[in-house]
Amino acid sequence: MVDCALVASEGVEKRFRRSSRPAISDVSLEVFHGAAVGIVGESGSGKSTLARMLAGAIEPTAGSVLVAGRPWAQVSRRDPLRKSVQMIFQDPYSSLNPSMTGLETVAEVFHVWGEGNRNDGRDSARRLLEEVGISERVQSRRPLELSGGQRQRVAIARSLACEPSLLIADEPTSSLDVSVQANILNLLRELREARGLSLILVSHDLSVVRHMTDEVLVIYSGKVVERGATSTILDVPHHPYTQLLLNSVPGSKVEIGQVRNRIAMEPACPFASRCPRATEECVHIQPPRYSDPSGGYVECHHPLNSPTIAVEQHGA
Amino acid sequence: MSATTENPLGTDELSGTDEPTNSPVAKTRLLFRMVRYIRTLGFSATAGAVIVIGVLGCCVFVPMLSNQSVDAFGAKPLLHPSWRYLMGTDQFGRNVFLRVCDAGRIDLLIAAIGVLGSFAVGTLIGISVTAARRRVWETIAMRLVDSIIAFPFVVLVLTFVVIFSESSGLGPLPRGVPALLCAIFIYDWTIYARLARSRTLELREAEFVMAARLLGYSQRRIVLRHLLPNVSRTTASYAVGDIVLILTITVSLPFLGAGVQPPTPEWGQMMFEGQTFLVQAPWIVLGPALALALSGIGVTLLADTLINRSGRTRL
Amino acid sequence: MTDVLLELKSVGATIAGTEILSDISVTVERGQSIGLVGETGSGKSMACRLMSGMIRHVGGSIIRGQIQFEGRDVTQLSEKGWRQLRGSRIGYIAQNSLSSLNPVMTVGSQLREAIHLQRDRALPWSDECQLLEMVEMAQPKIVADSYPHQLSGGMRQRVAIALGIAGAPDLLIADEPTTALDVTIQKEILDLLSRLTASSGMSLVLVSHDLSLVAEVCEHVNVLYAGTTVEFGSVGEVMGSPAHAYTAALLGAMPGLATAGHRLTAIPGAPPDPRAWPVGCRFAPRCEFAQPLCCERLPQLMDVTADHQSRCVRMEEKPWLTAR
Repeated sequence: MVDCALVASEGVEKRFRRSSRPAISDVSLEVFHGAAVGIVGESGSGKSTLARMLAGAIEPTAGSVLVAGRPWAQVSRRDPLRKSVQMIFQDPYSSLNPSMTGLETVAEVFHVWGEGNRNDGRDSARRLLEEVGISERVQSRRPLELSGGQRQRVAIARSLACEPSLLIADEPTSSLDVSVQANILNLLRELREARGLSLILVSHDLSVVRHMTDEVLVIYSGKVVERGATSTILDVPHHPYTQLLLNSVPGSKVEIGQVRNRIAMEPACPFASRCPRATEECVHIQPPRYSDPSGGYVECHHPLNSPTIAVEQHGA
Repeated sequence: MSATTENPLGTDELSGTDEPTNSPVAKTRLLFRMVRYIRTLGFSATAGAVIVIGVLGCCVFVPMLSNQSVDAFGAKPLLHPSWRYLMGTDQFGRNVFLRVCDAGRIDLLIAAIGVLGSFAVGTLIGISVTAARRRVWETIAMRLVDSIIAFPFVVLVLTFVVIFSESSGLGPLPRGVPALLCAIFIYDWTIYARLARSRTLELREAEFVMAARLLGYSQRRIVLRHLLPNVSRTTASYAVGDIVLILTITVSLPFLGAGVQPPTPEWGQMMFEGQTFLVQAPWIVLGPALALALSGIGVTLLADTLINRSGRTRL
Repeated sequence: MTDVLLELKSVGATIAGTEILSDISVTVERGQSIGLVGETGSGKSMACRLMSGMIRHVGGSIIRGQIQFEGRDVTQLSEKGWRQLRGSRIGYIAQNSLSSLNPVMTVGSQLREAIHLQRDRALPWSDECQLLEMVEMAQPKIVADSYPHQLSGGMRQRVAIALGIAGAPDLLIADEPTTALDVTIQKEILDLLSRLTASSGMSLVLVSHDLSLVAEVCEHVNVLYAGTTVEFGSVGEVMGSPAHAYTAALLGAMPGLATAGHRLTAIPGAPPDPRAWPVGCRFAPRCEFAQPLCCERLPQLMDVTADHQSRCVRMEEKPWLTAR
């Protein structure tokens, strides 16, 4: 059991063009061994950017991301630590090399990292592909000849080939049919149990997050607005945006109005322009953070369901 | 009915017959699949292939098997095409058909080498500079490309002819050819570099490239194994059509006094020399013209199908 | 006597020689909202085209069955005839609003064009701003002067809806109108559709791959699988007591509806290839409740109750309800 976090970010920010609004601003989080963390947000929230920074795929413009205590910037290409965090992506079509068969794609990982010869690598790849449900006949097909679910399985096998401790899944099932989604989610669960894999699941779908994760972070406009245990947050949300998300899930009975507060400049709380509870305070003053002992927190001037335990003024 | 595999992970595949991929049965099946693939290429591609093979065959085998010499002044001059002299004879009594086939060797070879070299170098450079971590390489390469493209190709060739001076042949290459090949290489690689760059730009953002980086693959591996096969599909389709272009240019040069120099037989040279006899003995010009046209048509037919198909395998 | 607006009776259709739809039956009554649910390969996009008469535009043809609009047989209706129906009687909202709106025309001019084509009729709106207000667009004047790419996804979808209802049609076909949208915007759009249909008495056919979404908006649902209608009934009945093994499997596969923490029902295999439909029930190869009888021939749609039909041989016993 490792003490330090598998992956941690400290005040990271990512700005894509010098003057524009940052995609992610000041996010600090830690993911420990055995965790299943969900990152929930809509498009443009920055959740994919955050996921990629956590994986070390892109560099933050401010702050740092640490893997097992070391910053990604110091982890070289051949460092074994590079293997410990892997990622699977949303679009199964562009996540595989179109000119390589499934077997070749997975075998390449063994070839690059392993000591055995070519054949050992192929055998290991075969076994791994069988484990994720790709039979031998399908292994020699190219991505073009595979269904979305099959491609995603190959992608999963590829990321498992180097035996990572943490798998970051960026909307892995959003492009798939419901029944195929079920297959993939079940597969991820089985693999978690069988290999002790930790998981970060990025999704816009609350029901998927509820089903798969133990804790969840809610992201809006580049900031984490709420964090807590999945079971509690999704039943008793503290942040108005979380409440809005829950209300939007098909099946919820609550009517939501379309709130559009007119705000001239960039408000202090990013959600102020859409929040039914917003006041002048929300526009000008950074929302305070209310934390609870288990590590969950919410940043809001007018949180729901009275979460107060400890209060930290943000930045004070 | 077929049994579903009892796999708790829920495979997407139903179990079928599993066969080792190396057995003779499997190999025969592979052969049949290849034949079927060729047949699916369609009429135009097969026609193109037939024409190209025909032209190549003539160029390679006819001079080899003929008992006449290419430069022999043996026969009567300006004979009509006949069974003996398929394209008649020219003003010196030389067998036109034989000369056309022999000339074809040089013309087609220049086109093939020129395009192949440009394709290989251009594609590789285009991919490498676009995929490189440091943007400076990309800028240098692309500005170089821009400056070269600014030159009209013919001017470039003529410049090289002057530089190399008409007298040099390089090893097995006849006179005038090194200059021509130089000009082709220097000019043509830029087209491929640009094409490769635009395709690499698309692929660079594709997630499989990001995945490769996350897996700690070296830049070399990413360029050669992940980008090259996918980008070269695009540039290769262009290359096949480029052959026709280079061929046409090569054939036009003798009219300006450049290109492959006499006495090496060459289609353009033959047409140039045959101009004076256009009315009396048109076959002297028509022979090489027909060969040129057939080559062009055959290659274009092949190229069209390849381009259409490569579109389907794109991301 | 109910007023049936649109009816597809056992319709089969092909595209380029492949039979994409074999036997779909859809009934839409006046003022009713029905959902058409199907995954990839079910043929639901083809079904949309059938209902708007666009099948010939994609090189398809109807090979069996009948389509009736207001009792009139429109199966072989000419393009001219369809044009009279489209816009004024049948409206259509496409899936991808960015590609369904003309990028070089302002939104206002596109709406004006649509309204202008219906000028001989009495419409509840006289200009494009009123139409935009109808779809709850704030600042309609500004939006009308904008180009599609300047608007957000949600706003574009509202414009697409406005285009669809511009002629005040009796029937609105919405082809996956929220697939590309965020979940909060999705909710807004669905609410808008509900309000529009409630206030105007317009019928709605909502096509989606998401059963729970359809359940939000519609009263009836029609489940498609492999080119056939496998179940049709009211939302409450179909979701509470599904009468077809596929519907049951689909419900079990959805994380929102499954019990948290339990395994989702994973349906093994993949939908069949339209070029080689299996003999018998098309879901049988993947069905855990399949019996030899299922593979003999394609079962017909039969009544479970007066308002609920299914194609499943085992619809009476419903073994999937007891198995969980």
